[in-house]
Amino acid sequence: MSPQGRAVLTAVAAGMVPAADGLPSGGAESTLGAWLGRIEARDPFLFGQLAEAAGRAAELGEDGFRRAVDAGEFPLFEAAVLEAWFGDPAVRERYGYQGSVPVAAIADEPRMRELAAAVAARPAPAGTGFEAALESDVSRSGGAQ
Amino acid sequence: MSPDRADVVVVGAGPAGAIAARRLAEDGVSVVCLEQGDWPDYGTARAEGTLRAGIGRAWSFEPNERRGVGDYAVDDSDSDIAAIMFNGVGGGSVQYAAQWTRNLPSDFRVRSLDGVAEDWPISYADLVPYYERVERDFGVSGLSGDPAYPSHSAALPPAPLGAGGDLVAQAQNELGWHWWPGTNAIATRDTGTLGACLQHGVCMWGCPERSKGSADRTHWPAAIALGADLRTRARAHAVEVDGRGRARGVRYLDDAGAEHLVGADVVILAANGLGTPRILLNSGDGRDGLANSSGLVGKRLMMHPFATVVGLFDRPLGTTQGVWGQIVYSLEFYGTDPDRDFVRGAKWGLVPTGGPASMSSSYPWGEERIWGEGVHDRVAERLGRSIGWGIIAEDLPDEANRVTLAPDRPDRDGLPGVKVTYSNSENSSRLLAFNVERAKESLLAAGAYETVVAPQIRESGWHLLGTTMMGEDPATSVLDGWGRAHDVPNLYVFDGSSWPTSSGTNPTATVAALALRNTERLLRERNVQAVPA
Repeated sequence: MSPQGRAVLTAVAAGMVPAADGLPSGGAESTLGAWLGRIEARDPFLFGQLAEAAGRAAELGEDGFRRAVDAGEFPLFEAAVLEAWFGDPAVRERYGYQGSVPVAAIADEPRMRELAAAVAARPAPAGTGFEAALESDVSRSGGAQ
Repeated sequence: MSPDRADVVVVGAGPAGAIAARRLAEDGVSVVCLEQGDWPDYGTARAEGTLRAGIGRAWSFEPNERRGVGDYAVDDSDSDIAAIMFNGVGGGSVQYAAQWTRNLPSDFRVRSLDGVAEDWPISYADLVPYYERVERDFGVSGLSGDPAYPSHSAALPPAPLGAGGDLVAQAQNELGWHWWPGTNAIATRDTGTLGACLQHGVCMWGCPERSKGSADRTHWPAAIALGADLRTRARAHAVEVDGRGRARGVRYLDDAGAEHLVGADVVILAANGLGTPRILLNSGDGRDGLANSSGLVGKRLMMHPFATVVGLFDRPLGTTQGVWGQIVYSLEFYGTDPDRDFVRGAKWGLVPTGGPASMSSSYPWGEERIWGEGVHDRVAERLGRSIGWGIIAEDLPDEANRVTLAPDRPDRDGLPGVKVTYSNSENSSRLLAFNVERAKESLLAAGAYETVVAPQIRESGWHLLGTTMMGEDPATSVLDGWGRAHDVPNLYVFDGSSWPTSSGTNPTATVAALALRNTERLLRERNVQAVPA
């Protein structure tokens, strides 16, 4: 990643997520800088794409790259800025976000069935013609099977 | 069997192709499957962290951005919806949300019930036994008893409603509106090759727990073990026919650009609603393509216009995670109501909104930009405190909406890309507008203090349907009710191209059931199947 491109990414990220209320900006060393360092070491494929974005950023300059981001041309970079910002422990703490943790997908089925009982007690949604369709199916199924 | 000949050649290794290949291999039929892409590389699916998997070009939904080895150019400059797909082993199921919704009985009778479009040549009843089987294969979870459907049960227990789903379910009950716990091809227990879901909420960007039922995991390992020959980076571009008009094989280019012909008694196309007509239009005599005496190959493209409404709540809902997937769904406004100014309707699916990196994405938030001074407030409002309805509109067929070859957009070896020409109908616009207002009412009733609306998301053409429709009359359809081309008796189409109408549901369940049904029939009829000389 070229120093010029990285400088533009950093400047634009700082404008996208300004420092406020004691939290760092999206372009701070503790956010984007640290995250890019980790990505470079652990995920060269992703880092390569960000390096491509940095190349475009260097061509466009800070204002041009910011306009391109606003036009939705760099969704990867937008996601990366937020990802990197939440890499700072102070940001996570402020938002009460613990990261993605494994949680078994076990439903509270009694509660679910309690709520769904009201739906089951009602007829099928109006105007859908399910009964007519089913009758039609019965009359046609011999030929279609 | 020589290396360049098989009993059956299948084009496309997505759900339909995988189901066909595995079932055929189970009965000892020799199968070659040509897949233009690679196996998905889940090693690139997760960013460090990880708050959201799959950021980056490799997991983009858009082939023009992804530019993978299996992608061809899609010119969508004249389309209201961007067509999106995954070209690789597993096909669209690699990136789908795994919302698994059967078509409703009425979806097969649109003409009879509402006087629009066409009835299907088959019925819901025809597909029931095949729905049941593919739902076991794909690890579908859900709750039995939905009154909107004839009685059936899910293979696995339902996923949790979570705090947000519970609130919305209560609101739907207060409004007297239909809802039901979500059915998803997301395993809530270990089953087959799938592991139990741990709710990371990254289903569309490469499931890290192997919990999502995608065909690269559910079908291909078994199919290959049974002898199916899956060839990746094999770009099929034409079906060859013999002097009697019967398919005799498929031409493809390998990764080096060398051309090959795989001979076969039967050809099955399963390359999606763009890829299948692309091959047919590129085959034959160079004028109208192959199997196109009706003139309908490539026409009647349907893509399900899609909107979202997200509710912002003043309490944590835990929606940084969860199945994505659908937590619940609603069919309250699915059918035609003569008091409305449109016909047919929409399915709603309730989805979480994901982790920090998803707080700025167009799905589900729309095009509003959040950057600058207000970004802290926007993130605080959204992160873990929001939940949204995704609204899938039934898309009525229109011959003006179509796929054509785009020779001006060739791939590296000169194979043409495709051009998509598609305009939203007035019916779709009215339908979406109505449903957006109702979805806002639902979320406000659930306690949302504000809603964020994306009235139509352009990058939403996941469902590519209708471009080689089936029907009973060869003059007005491309395929018969078994997916067989009227014009070529040993050429079949098993993907969503065959659909006469789009329904308003996520199509994979029905694509899969159709593929299994048609394959079973092919096996039953193999002794009388027309084959090339």
